Amino acid sequence: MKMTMSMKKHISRVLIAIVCLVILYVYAMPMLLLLLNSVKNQSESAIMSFTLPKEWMFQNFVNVLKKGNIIRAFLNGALIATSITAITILVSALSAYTIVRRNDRTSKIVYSYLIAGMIAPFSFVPAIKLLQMLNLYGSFSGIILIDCAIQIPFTVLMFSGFIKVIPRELDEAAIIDGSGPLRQFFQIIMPTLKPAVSTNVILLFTFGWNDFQNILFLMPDSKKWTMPMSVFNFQGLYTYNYGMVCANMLISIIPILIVYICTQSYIISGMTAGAVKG
Amino acid sequence: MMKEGKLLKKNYPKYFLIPAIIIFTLFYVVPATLGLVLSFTDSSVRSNSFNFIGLKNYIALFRDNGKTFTDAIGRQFLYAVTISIGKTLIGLLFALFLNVKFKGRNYLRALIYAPIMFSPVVIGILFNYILKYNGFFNTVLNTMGLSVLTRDWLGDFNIALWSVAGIDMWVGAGWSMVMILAALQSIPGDVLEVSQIDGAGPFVKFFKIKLPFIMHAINLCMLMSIISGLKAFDLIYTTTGGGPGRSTELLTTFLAKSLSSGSLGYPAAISSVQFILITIVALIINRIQRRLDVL
Repeated sequence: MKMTMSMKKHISRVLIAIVCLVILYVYAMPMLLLLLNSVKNQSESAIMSFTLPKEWMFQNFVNVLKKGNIIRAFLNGALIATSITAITILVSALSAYTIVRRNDRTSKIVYSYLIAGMIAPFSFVPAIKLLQMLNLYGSFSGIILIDCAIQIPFTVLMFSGFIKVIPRELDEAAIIDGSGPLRQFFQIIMPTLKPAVSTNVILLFTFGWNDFQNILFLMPDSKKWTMPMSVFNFQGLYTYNYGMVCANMLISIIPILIVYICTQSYIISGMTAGAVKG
Repeated sequence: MMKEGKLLKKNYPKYFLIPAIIIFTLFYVVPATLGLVLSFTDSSVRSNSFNFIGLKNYIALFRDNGKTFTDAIGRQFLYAVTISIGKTLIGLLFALFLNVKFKGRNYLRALIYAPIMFSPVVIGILFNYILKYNGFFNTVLNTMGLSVLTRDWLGDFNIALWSVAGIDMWVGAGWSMVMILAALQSIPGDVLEVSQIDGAGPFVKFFKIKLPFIMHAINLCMLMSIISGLKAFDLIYTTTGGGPGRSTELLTTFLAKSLSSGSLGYPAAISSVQFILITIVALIINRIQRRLDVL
């Protein structure tokens, strides 16, 4: 029997719908469970089932805010993530600009040198000693500078990819204008790099907000911990109260969730643009 | 010629490079080098002075803890290769599927990419709950009539490592998907049209026409996820912490545990071995990739 065109179309539509549902289930379910559990009491959340709570425990959030030192961690995270974002973007965009435009031996060597950091793992053990020697161990600046150093390679790669496609004539207009290189960079080049800057803002902020390993090893002062570390610590203290831990985790991902929902199409296209061009 | 050079100097000054170079060197390159030095000392977190003790740290590492250490290295490589293949393959399937035109595919793409945005700590703790023996995942298996499959996913010596690798794939497949999707969308439309007219079947179409175009992206995904797998730490640390026993002990968790004594010399030795290993592997992969690109 030969299938008609419309039958074929119908079958493929059903198949697509089934695959979509499976993907939806696998990817949305863990997040829904997190959401549901955050408003369940201790005994109900222990089963981690996909049901509405019998008793809505909004109290979980109040408890977490009271006990979790969460506001401090939230602010610390905001400070660290914002600083990393600003510093890394500034220094990376500047160097990528000179690297791409000069395109001579020196700049090629500098480029390879910086990019090497994407491959080699970060040595956090000696970093402890280094920060101690610089008197930065346990300080915000220490952790911020380390995180910047880790992120510079990829950010330079991204900016280089974007700057390559900006026509040189644009710089020349500024040259005729007679403005100095720094002004020329900020007034003419930076605005055209807006897509690259926004993508990097999102990626860097997310990195800074989520970073766990460096805080774990390089930040002995618990008053300066950020969200992931405080969530991890909280989970150790309230091991058996899944509801409260989930409430804490939910609060910790809210900023990222908001940023992601508002900018997801942007992130996805920016991500590939940088990697493909670079 | 002369004028061009002067223009370069004036408008693209070398001092633009300096801030990035200073930060990167001081806080990335110096620690790596310092690590090599510290590995020959008895340095510790508590004191500022240290003495050179020759190869003692390396002897302690390879002779006294040799088996544990090499096992951890082996597991790290196994883990890296597993997640690299898994993420790339799943990402490829997602990309092919979400390249088909239908309503809502953009939402699905965004959903699949989402886990990368969240902290591995949150993902780790959440899956700890889901994969417990009486957790959600086993409940689902039970209701599907698959109770034979239920087990303690993160507590079973033989399975824990694969469970964590599974979580890692769930997190990272979206990245591969996005990369491969971009490559798929860059295939010129007329190439696909010609194949349509030729009457090529879906498999022929994939292997003969699409694959050559996306091979570059697939290579990139494999390389990036192998390297990230060799550095993998957060997810393992927050799910199993290396346990049960040493069944999920990777080089990274082995290193983390060595820090608990307060000594820095011995961990620095481990860190240096890790640094050299990953750099060598990355260089080899890079070589292979270049050769593939030439072909």
